[in-house]
Amino acid sequence: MPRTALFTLLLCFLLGFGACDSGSGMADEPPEDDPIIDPPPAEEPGFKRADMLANMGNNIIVPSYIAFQEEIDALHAAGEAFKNRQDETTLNGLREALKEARMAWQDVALFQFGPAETFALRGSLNTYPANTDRIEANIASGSYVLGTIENIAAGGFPALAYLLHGNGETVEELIALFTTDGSAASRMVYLEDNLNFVQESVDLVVNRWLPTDGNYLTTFLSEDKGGVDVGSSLGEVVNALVLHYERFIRDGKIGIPAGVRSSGVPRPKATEAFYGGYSSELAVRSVEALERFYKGISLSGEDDVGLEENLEFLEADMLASDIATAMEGVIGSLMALPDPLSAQIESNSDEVVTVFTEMQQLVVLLKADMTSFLGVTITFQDNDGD
Amino acid sequence: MNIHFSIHKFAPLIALLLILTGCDSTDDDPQPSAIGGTETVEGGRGTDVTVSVSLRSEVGIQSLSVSVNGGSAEALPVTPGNVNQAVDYPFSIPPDATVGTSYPIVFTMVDQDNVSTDFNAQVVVGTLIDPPSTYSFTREEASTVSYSGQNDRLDQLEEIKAYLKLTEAGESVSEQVLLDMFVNTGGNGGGSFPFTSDRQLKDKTFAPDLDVRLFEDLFARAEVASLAGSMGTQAENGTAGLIAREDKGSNILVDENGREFTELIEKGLMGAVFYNQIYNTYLTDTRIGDTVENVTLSEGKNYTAMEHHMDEAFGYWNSPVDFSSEWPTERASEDRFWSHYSNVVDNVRDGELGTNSIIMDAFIAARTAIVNNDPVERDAQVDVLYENLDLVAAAVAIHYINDTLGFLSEGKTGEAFHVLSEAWAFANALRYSPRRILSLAEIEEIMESDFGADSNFWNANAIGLNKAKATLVTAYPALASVQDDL
Repeated sequence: MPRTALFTLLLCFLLGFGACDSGSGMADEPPEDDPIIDPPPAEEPGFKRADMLANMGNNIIVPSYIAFQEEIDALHAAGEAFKNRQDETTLNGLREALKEARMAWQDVALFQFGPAETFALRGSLNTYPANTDRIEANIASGSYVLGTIENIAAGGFPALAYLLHGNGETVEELIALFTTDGSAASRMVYLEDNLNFVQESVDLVVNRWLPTDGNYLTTFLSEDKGGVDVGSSLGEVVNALVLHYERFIRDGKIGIPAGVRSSGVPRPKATEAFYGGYSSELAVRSVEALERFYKGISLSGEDDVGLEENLEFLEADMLASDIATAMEGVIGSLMALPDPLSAQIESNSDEVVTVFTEMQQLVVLLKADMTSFLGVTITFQDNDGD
Repeated sequence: MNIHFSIHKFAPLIALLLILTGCDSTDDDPQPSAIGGTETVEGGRGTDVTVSVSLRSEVGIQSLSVSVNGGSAEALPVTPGNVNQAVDYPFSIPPDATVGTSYPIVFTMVDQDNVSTDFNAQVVVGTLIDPPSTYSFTREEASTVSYSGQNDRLDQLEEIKAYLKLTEAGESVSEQVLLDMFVNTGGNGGGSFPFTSDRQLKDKTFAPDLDVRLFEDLFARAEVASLAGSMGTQAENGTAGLIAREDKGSNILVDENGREFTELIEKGLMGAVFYNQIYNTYLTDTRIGDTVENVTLSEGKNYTAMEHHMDEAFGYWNSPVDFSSEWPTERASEDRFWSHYSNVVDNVRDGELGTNSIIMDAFIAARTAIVNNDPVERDAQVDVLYENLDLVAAAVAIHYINDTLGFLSEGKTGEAFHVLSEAWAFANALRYSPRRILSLAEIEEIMESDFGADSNFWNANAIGLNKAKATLVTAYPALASVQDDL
C-alpha cells in the first residue's frame, strides 16, 4: 500500500470516517515523522465546542432574552394604556400582552444560570400557583414589598393573570374591580407595581448579559469557562436545561397539577396559567424552546451547531436522534392536551398523568445519557436532605 | 526520654584532619596544639546529647575545661601528657528549652607548655518529632491525646437537635427540657441524654450570648411555637408555626420571622460553644501561651497542660484523626459539626479551598510544635487556624445563601427558610473570632437586614441576599473565585 493511501486511511480513521472521503487526495507526500498525535477532539474539523457555545450565546440566549425584554416592554405599555382607560379593549390588549410575555418567557426559562440565577429571576416572575389571599391582603393593606419571600407567589406573571382574568368574573365585573370597586385605586396600584416589578427584574438580568452592564456573554464565551467541568459554561447551561425540563416543565407544568406529588389528588389550580387558561400552550412552547436550543436553532430559525451536533461528533448519533425524537413526542403529547389544562385535569387527570409518564423518558436521555457523553456533571441535587 | 545524639559520623573527618596535621610533623618545629570537634550539635528539648572533641598536643596535653553559656569553667578529665585524646562531653538539653535556643560551649585545652587553645561549639535545640500524618501523639508509646469533654458536648448538641426535630412531626417541645439539656441537669440532661457526662454546653457558651439569653429565649419561643405547630398552625409572616419543605416533604417549625428553631439553636451553638471555645479559650495565650505548663505532666495524665489544651481545641473541630481534603464519601459520616461543614466547602471547584487539609495540617503542626516546645511555629499554626476556621464559616454562609437563592428561584418558601436559617447561623459564627474580619455591625447587617428587613426572613429577597454575599466575598477574597460554586 502506498504511503499516501495509508496516511489517508489513518486520517479517515482518526476523523471518524465521515469527515473525508477516500480518493479526495487528502495530502501530498506527508512530511517525514509527521506527528499525528491525538489532537483534542474539540479541535477536530467539523465541530468545536467554542463554536457551539458561541452559537448558543450569540444566536439563541441573548436574542431570546432581548426578545423577552421587548415583550415585557410591550406588556408595560399595555399596562399604561389600561391605566389611562379601563375598558374591554385595553383589558384585552393587556391580557394579550401578558400572554405574549409569558410565551416569550418560555424561551428563556431554560437559561436560569448566571445572572438569572443570581437574581432568582424565575422565582420573581413565575412562582405559581398565585397566592390570591396574599394578593388581596396586599391590595387591602397597601403595604408590601414585591420580590420578598413573603410575596414570592403574590407577584410576577401568575399574580398579573389573577388580577387581569380574575376568578370567574365577567369582563364588566373585572373592569369594575379597577374602576368602581371600593379598593379599585389600590388594585390599580398593585397592578402597576407588579408590572414595574416584572420589568425591573427582567431588565436587571437581561442587561447583565449585555456589554453595557455585566457583559455576561463575554464570561459565558470565555476560554476559562470553555471546558466541561463544574462551573464551565456548558456545564451550567446543561444543568440549567435539565433542571428546567425535569422540575419545571415535567413536574411544574404537568405532574404537580395532575396530582403526581399529592397522592394522585389533582391540583388544577396549580397549572401555570390557571387564570389565563393557556397552560398547555405554554408547556408546548417551553419544550419547543428546549428543542430549538438542543438543535442549535437560533431565534431567527437558522440551524447551527448545538448539543445535537456535539453528541453526533462524539459518535452518539443514536442518542442524538433519540433525544430529538423524544422531544417531538413530548411536544405532540402536550399539543394533544386541550386548554384550559385545569379543566382537562378536573375532568380526566389520567390522560395528563400519562403525558407526565411519557415525559420521563426524555429526563433519562438528557440527565443520564447526554451528560455522560458530554462529560458534564449534574450538580443540582435531587430533593436533598439536610 | 533519652535520645543520645552522637556525632560519630564526623569522627573520620576529624581523624583525617589529625592525620594530615600529623604528616607535617617531619618539620622540626612542633606543631601548635590543636583542639577540634563538631561545632554544632542539635537535639530536642529534654534530651541528652554529646559534644565530641579531639585534642592534640605534641608537647602533651595538660588539662581541659569547659564553659557553658559563658558560665564558670569546669574541668574535664584528661590524661596529662597524652598527645592525642578524644573527649565526649555529655550535655542535657533542658526540658523547657525552646526550639532554636543555642547553648554556646567553649572548650579550653591547656598544653604542657601552658599554652591554652579554645574550641567553640554549640548545642542548638531542635525538634523532637516531625509532624505525624494523623492527629496522633504518644509518650512512652501511650497516647497523649484526649478530648473526651469535647466529644461529650458534641454528643449533647446532637441530642438537642434530635429533640428539636420532633417539632417537624407536629410534636411540641418543652423549654424546661431544653434548658435541662443545655445545663446537663443531673448529668444526663434531665433524663434526655442516653449517656451520662459531667460536662455541659451552657458554661462554655459565649458569655455575651448568655447575657442576652440568646439561646434560652429561643428555647422558650420554640416551646410556644411548637405548641401552635402541634395544633396545626401554619407559619405566616408574623405567626410562628409549621411550614412545609417543598422538596423534602416534611415540615419545619419556624418563628414569626420565618426562622427555623432547630437550625438557629443547633448551628447557633456550634458557633457559640464550639468555635467560641476554640477561638476564645483554647487557642489563646491563657491556654497555649508561653507561660502555660509544657514540661511537667498533668497529675495522673500522660500530657502537659499545653498539649491537652490544643487537643481540646481539636476536639471541638472533631474530625477523624486522619481527616483530609477530598474526603471519601464513604467516610462522610465520620466528620461532625464543624469538620463536616468544612467538608461541604472543601472540594468546590476541584478543591480550590481545601480547608480540610489546611486546618488538619495546622492542628497537627501546632500540636507538634507544642511537643517540640516551638512557640514560633505553634503561633504561626494558630494563625492558620484562626484564619481558616473563620473562612469555613464564611464559605458555608455563602453556600447557604446560594441555596436560598436557588429556592427563591424555584419559589419554595419552606426550603428557602430552612437554608436561610443555616446561613444565618453560619454568619452568626463569624461573630466569635477575636480576629473577625467583618465588624459586629457588618455581621449584624447581614443577619438582620440583608437576610430580610427588620430581622424577618419573610422580607428576604434576591437583592439583599446578593448584598450579603458581596459583603462576605469582599471580606474573604479567597472565596471570590468559588462564590457561585459554593
